[in-house]
Amino acid sequence: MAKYQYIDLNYLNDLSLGSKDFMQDIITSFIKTTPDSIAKMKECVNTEDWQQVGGIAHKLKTSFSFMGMDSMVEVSKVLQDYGLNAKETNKIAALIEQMDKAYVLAEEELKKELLQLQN
Amino acid sequence: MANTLIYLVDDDELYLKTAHHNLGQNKGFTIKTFMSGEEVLKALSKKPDIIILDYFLDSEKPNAMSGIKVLQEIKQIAPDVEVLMLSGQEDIDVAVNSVKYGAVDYIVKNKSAFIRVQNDIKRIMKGKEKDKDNAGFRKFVITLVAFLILLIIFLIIYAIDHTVFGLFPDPGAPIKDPNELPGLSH
Repeated sequence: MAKYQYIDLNYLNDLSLGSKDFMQDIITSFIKTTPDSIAKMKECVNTEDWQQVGGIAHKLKTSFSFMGMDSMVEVSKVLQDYGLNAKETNKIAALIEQMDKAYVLAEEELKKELLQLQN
Repeated sequence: MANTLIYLVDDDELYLKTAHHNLGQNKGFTIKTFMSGEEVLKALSKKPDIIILDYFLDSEKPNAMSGIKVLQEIKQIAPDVEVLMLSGQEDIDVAVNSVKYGAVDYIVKNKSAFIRVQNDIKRIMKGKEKDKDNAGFRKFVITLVAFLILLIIFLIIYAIDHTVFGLFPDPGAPIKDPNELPGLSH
């Protein structure tokens, strides 16, 4: 498994049970859905829909764990807690921004991995 | 092990795909996936053996049925179906609620979750097979006891008929000539 700075695909590789198709499918789905989820969370901040922020963060937690993005798993947990309990709401926007930046960096590496899997 | 029909219910597409991929490696499992509780309730008529249900089904859609609500409905419609509850977080309230409303186990979606799910499925199916065997044996014993009771009743009636009525013959029957009785003939 190739070494990357922002992602660690060892867990996903274990889950794939040796299937390259599965790896590709999950990475592609992650790249397809995660930006929308982050954008949706940003919208929710504007409308102060904290419950929704918590719900989306809950889902993202699993996705980030598949990509081995442990720091983002932790950020998701915090966002989930803040969102569902409507607390520390003034910190939510900054955490989402942090997540967005981390995702952009991870996406580049994931696209490289996709190319490798296709070859 | 006979073919096991498993329903997977999760509103997280990535998790659903991963769970399907992992559990689908078992030859004895037929897996169907659902992204909402409403969908799985409609499919209960196909009589699944086990349902693996996410606790937080209303994470993005607040109007969607929650995992606990779906669990309650399943247990009302199909009480024999075993439900394994999955949750993204370790929370004692989630665990207690799941078991309280009839889930057979509560599993946290961590790195060992799929192994635990597979072990649970195997344990549940073994239990079901054992129950089936026990039910078959119970049916056999009940049939045997019923047969023996009938046999005893028949024997009692037969004995009464041939002893009691043999000692006290029918008073209306013609009296036999004493000379014809054995040992009195000259």
